[in-house]
Amino acid sequence: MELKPDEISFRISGQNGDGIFSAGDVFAKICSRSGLNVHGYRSYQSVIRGGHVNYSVRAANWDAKAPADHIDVLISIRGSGFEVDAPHMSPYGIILYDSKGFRIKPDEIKVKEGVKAIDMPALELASQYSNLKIVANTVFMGAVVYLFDLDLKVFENILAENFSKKGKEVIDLNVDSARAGYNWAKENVPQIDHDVKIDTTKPPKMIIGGNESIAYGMVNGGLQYFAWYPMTPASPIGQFLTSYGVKAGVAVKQMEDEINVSNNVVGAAVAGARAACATSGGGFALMTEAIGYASMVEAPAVFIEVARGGPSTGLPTKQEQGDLHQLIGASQGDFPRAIIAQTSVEDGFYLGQEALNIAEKYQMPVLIASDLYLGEHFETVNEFDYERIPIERGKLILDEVPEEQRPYKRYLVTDDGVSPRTIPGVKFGRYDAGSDEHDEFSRLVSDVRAGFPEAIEVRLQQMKKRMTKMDVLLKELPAPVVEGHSIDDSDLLIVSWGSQLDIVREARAHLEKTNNIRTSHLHIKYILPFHSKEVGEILRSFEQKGVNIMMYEGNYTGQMARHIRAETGFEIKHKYLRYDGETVLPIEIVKYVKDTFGGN
Amino acid sequence: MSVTQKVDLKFSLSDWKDNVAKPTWCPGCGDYGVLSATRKALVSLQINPEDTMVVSGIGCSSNFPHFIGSYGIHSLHGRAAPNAIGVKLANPDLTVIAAGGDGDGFGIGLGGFLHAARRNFDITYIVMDNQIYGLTTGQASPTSLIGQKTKSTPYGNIEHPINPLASALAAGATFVARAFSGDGKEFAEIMEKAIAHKGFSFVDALSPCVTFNKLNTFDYFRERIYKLEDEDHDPSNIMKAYERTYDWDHNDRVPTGIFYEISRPTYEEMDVTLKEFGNPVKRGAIRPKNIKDIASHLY
Repeated sequence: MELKPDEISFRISGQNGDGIFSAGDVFAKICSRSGLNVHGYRSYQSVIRGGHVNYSVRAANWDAKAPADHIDVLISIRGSGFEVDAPHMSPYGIILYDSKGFRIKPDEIKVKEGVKAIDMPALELASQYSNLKIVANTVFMGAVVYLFDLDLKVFENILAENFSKKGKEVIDLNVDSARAGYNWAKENVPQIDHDVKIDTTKPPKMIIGGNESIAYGMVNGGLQYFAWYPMTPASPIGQFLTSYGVKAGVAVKQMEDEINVSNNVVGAAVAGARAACATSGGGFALMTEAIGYASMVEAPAVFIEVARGGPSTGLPTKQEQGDLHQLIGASQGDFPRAIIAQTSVEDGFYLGQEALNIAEKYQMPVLIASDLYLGEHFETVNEFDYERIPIERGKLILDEVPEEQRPYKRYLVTDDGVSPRTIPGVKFGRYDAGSDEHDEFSRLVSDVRAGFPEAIEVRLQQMKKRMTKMDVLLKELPAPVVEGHSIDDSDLLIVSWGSQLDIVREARAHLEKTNNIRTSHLHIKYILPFHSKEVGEILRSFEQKGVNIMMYEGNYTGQMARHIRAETGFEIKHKYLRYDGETVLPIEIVKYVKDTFGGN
Repeated sequence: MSVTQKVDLKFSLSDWKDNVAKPTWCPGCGDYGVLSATRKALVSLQINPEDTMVVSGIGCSSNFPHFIGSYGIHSLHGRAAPNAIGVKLANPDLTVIAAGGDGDGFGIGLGGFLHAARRNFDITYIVMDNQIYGLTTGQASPTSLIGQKTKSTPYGNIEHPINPLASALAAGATFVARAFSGDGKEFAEIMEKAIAHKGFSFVDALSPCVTFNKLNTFDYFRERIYKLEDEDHDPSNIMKAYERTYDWDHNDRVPTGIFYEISRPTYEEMDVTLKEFGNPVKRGAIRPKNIKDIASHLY
């Protein structure tokens, strides 16, 4: 090895029920308390016991915000790790396993050249302190702490915190087990030689997932109401709010299905609460009627869609960006709504607040596109700026309709399409939030008045009023800008959207550093209303300069490429499309670029 | 308390009647009686229309909010209950009435109805039950009787009708009643008790469709109706209440009145956020002071 790696990459794998996720969480915490930036993600299945799951953690002094291309140290609790995880080992990697304790047969053990597979008697060491099989994980983790030359004391402190409710005896046996593992490794395994500086004195950063960050952001943004129905991978949003949001005053309601989640949220929004809900693709399909309804009655509500592998029940625990067309096509008729993609864990915190503001200022539904990878992976984040985004409620009347505005017109025609809004309890402000077409006073024009000239006028007037909000909103949203090399200095423009921002950024850095391919990057965040003019101009100008252009996204048909074509008339010919369900590694994008456009 | 005898009322019938749309129901429709009884009950209880939300689904009867002088939501087909719950949990100080038809509440919206009942939100849910789909011009509904010929059952209905009252009891509703649109006086009394009841009140309103249901007419009910209070019914006894809900099925007699009423803590009284922080809407959309504390487990 010529250069020491400037990051450490760890994975633990085994069956559901082996305690893989707890061990991974502990390692992430050890790293963050060692002054490192951390990125982690889990791979799991739709079962509660058995199968194969893993948990990957990457840590560095620099801002590691994408999955690592290789694994330095793997704990393979079960034999299946040699099939699933071992192929991803670094050339200098170390695999720890316990053949006796977990009955791994010699013919299961397969490793690449250079990788050391070390048979460690973890269960036997653990049995000195406890007869619980799970304690072997603590022994293994003690060894990992040694292999990366981390501070055992940090691990011991975390064990003491985690088992504080179980008493001193349990803490001691775990600390002893950790030490036993550490010492065994010291005797028997060489350390990983890395160039990562450990500093246990720095205050650790927050470790948060993409789901939790958007939930947390909404709480900071004055969220008053949240409804949900459990669905992988969106559940952590509801879970966070029902555990921690309620401590900050958020009313959280679990409903009986997603149809009623969405209607419940619209009811709360009409009543005057800042309201949101979250689900995945299947649940969102059930919510769609209420999205048009929210837009028709001009109720502000946020709908978060954390996509997973489709179609239908599909791959419930796997990654895909396959729901874009569902979001765009949700609900009948033409109506105003914003569709915005969450682009990173950190972005979630601010987007959660921005979405609530847009919903209230424009009195329309805001749909947020996230996905399993973004929602479920976690990162250390820089301290959030809690005051960056003010709480903006738009034209909301909270006490009494002013005399000059009486009799009150809920759907008053205005220049920006947004009418002053009352909520129940406001004096002189009564109206009916009707899902039928209505006039400025909220009176129906769908029944006895339908077809009369006056009703036709009302229909045209109210459609235009509502749709005007899309034009006004577009002006407020920041237009996309090209990152990286300028048009005069670029070999390739990569277009991507949503959750894949940081993965593409790392792939681009890799292309530049090791392949000398200079890239530019157009990343789409605001999907509707869409900056058709700006995006079209960027694409055409790169094409005219002769720069290669490629789309990278996580679905079979290239849904964002199609959206871009629909909005701009520009067709992106090269597409790297991923729909295998797996977390995309930067190195895989690098390989596509080299295979498609050449390069060394 | 009769409305006409009081002159110093803060809120009068005109507060609930004026400046609202003229009902669009067919002449003779049972829903007129329901509307009138509901307004009377609201006046009698001296409820402020501006602190009231009437929520409906879709269907003939679901136009209800447009004809009554409170705030209203005319939502989606079958979704009165989940919308009403959202309103109530967001602002528990409001009087919330959900209204709709039998197709809306017992067909497409059955799940929402039963779950609202079991949760015991302090709302009143009134179903104008005409045993037919009216607005779509006469198909069988979940309460259409066996053998009834409709546009969707031209050879006679072969599906057993749902028993809405027994369903409400089984789901855990704390106030279960039936009222007949043809008896305005009793209807207003029942509505008054339903709205005043603290918890989920369900009122099955027999509200004949004069256009599409030629079987369950005003006369049909007048021949079969009797009042529970005339037969010494004990509304605190749930098993007796169940028995009475089957009277129509078993004995061709249709009881009206309060089948069941019990006191149980409401959802709003037990909700952890409302207990700690009070009314979410009145508290306002604010940046929590403890925003950093709630994330302390993330380090």
